[in-house]
Amino acid sequence: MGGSLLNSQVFKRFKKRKSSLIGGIIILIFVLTALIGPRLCKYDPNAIDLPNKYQNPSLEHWLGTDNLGRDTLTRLVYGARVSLMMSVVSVCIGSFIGVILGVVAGYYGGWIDAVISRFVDLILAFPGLLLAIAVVAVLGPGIPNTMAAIAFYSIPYVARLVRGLVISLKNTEFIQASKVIGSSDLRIIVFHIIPNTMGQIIINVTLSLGTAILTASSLSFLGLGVQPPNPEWGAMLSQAREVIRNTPIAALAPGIAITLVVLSFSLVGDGLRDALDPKLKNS
Amino acid sequence: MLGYTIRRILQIIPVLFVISLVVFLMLHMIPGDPVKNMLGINATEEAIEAMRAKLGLDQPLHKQYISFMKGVLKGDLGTSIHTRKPVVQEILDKYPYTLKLAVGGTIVATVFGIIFGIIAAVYHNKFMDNFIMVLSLLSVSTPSFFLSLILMLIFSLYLGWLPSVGVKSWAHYVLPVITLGAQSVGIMARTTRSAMLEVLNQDYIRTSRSRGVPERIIIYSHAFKNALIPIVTVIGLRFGGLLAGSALVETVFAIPGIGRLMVDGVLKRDYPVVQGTILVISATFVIMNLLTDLLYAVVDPRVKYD
Repeated sequence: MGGSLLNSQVFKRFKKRKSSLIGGIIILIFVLTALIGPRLCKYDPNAIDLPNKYQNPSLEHWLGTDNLGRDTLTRLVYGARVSLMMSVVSVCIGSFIGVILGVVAGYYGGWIDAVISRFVDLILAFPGLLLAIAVVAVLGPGIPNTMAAIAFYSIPYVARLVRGLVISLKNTEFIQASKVIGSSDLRIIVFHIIPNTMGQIIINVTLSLGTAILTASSLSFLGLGVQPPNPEWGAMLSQAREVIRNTPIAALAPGIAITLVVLSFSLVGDGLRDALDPKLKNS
Repeated sequence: MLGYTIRRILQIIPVLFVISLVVFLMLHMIPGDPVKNMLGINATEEAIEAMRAKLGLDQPLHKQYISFMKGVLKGDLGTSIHTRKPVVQEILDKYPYTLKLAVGGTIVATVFGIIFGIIAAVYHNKFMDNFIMVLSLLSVSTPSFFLSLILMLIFSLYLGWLPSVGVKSWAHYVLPVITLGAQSVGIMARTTRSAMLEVLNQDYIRTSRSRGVPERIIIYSHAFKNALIPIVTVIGLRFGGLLAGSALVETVFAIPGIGRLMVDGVLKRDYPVVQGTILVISATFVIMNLLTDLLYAVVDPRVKYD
């Protein structure tokens, strides 16, 4: 009851921010496209049709065709599935590991904290995309390895965030009271600490999803991520740039899709931050 | 100030040491045999053994690291498997292009980011503020390779104002630099805006206003100077991001920079090149962070006494 009341209040606050609501609707449309879109497509995303390559938009091919005559709209729809699946799975895995590291470091402190914090500092010493490229350099290209790269990339940010939250939480009265009545560390962490950091973690995950899509598409654009013929937005854009003068729509469509989704995740993340923690509003 | 500078320089030595260790271990973390990966499936057993000996992979791990570090300190990062040139030479040939892009991108980001951020803060909650914030969000959300293509399509292919690819003249750098800087403009604008808003709400600003100090002086002399710390931090951090992100822009505009060298190294499994480029980019990032920290002390004298 309390939970649903809280959720309804959070949702009411979230709804107040129109831009976040629009972002949420756009994400919902892309998720639905990824889930049911492929069933509605009449073309195979990988079916090569060379006589019909470089077609401009028409009734047959709403967004034209690419360099191998494949329907751009169909590949865009299938690409939504690949891009969203990759970002969601990798960010969730990265966040899960990051939460564990952050909780352990923040709660136990001492040498464990020192080791984990140095590890986090080390990962953060590699700038942005470089870390993802380094992971792919070791593991090789492909969907699972791109996901591993993104997951690895997300770990330090979550770990640092959660560590800070746990340090400020562990000295609060309700945690001290819990210790006094004999609750085990595991119980305190699972039932008291993690639920109290959940809001921040959800905000971070939402904002990370946009970054994950940007990183995945960047890797694929460079030829280091999803490999042909799999439809992925970054890879589609990379192939389409060769013919950008004659069929710009082939490059514009995946580019707009990436921008829209990343923008929407940012808007939803900002909205969630305001709704879950009104103190942070306008920060 | 000298003591602070020496202390900070000493602090980056262990960071550089650990980075070198990670870069060294990269070759050993590759699943399977890295030498077979490099030479391909048709390589003979003799060729594989010869390459293994050449790379020193037949030595114990600690000896390999010591000889790797000796090489790094002497400026020897090995030889490219693909071009058979020294990796250092390859990097030295290509680094200036990337450096020009990153410095240009940082200047674009800093100048426009700060101007937009100040305008947004001054017109807080008005149309101009909202407009700039929407633009900054859009700039952060647009992938640089997509923006590159849009700018190339408009200014090179349709209008014919600027060259599309290559590095022959300064005009070739205009679109890549704008593209690379654009994403950071949004981040800089947001940072400047929030730092300015925080300062503009302080008592001493209110006092200055009540004393009739002109608004221009309040904004540029009083508020902006005190809002500089977070802005300087972001400039330092973004420079490293731009170095790594330059690979995307270099790919679109066919610029032979270090980012493209690294990506080609990964694609061709030329591990000495990959290790060398990652080491150089990371070291530059760490050194940029050091310079940022030293700049703090100039901007805010309180820092060096901490």
